[in-house]
Amino acid sequence: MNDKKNTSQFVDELIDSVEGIRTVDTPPFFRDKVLGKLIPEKKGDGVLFHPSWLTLKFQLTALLIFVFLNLGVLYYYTNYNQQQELQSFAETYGLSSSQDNSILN
Amino acid sequence: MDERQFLADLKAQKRDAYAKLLDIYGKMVFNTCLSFVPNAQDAEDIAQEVFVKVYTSILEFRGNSKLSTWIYRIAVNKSLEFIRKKNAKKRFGFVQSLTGNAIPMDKSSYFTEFDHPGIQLERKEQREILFYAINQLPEGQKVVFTLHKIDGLSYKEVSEITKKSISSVESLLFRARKNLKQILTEYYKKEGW
Repeated sequence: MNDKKNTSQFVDELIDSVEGIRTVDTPPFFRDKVLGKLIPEKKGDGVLFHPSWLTLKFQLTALLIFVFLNLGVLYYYTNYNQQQELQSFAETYGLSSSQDNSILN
Repeated sequence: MDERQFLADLKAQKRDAYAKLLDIYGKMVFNTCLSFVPNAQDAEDIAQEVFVKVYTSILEFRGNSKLSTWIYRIAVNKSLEFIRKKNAKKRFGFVQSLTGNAIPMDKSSYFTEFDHPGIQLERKEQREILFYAINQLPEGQKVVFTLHKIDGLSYKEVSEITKKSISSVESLLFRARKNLKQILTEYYKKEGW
């Protein structure tokens, strides 16, 4: 009889104990995950604003000019370097015509 | 907060409005799902489905009830849907129960792995048994008991969510408690109490 009463009381307490379950926070990134699922962020959102005149044609032309300018400078620089090297080589081994004509000789 | 404007923004599917909706109702929905399905991962998946449902059905919301009531209703339905699906799978897998050898409250027959982050470790086992018992209740009793006892909603709120009168909510709650007591007493008797 006493056991029966004990079990009944225990069960009653157990049923009432559900009221003590505490609420919990949502898992981390829950909000972002759901938002990403619902409305994916537009791709353009992270890109900086660019003026309307900066069209693809304009950008390609600018790129080509830049490439040609660089190639031109590179060609000129290489040629100039070659001449310099040749001159210094000639001067080192006494082959330079400017040295032959020196009044000190 | 201008409720009407907020609703209009939700219907226009504005990102900011949904961010706000998640800030206001995210925790509530997650905890309700957790009350029905005591597994953090499962509850998170269901809560996500709830917001997807809100997003896809917001145009059907006429404003006859409060927005929170409508969202609660979706959360309850999604949770029950999940339990039904999982229970069906378990039933299919356990031929043992057909022969009558199955224990009525067996962990392996429960629809999910018990992992409720709001329950303290020292009382976990008792609460686990209680949740198994709640799962044995008929759906109507389960919903009313969970919303009132675990989620702490008033009779009025429960009646609005379930679309039942307050007296029938009270009656369902009374029967739920009686059945739970019977299930749990039988369980503890078998355990040798």
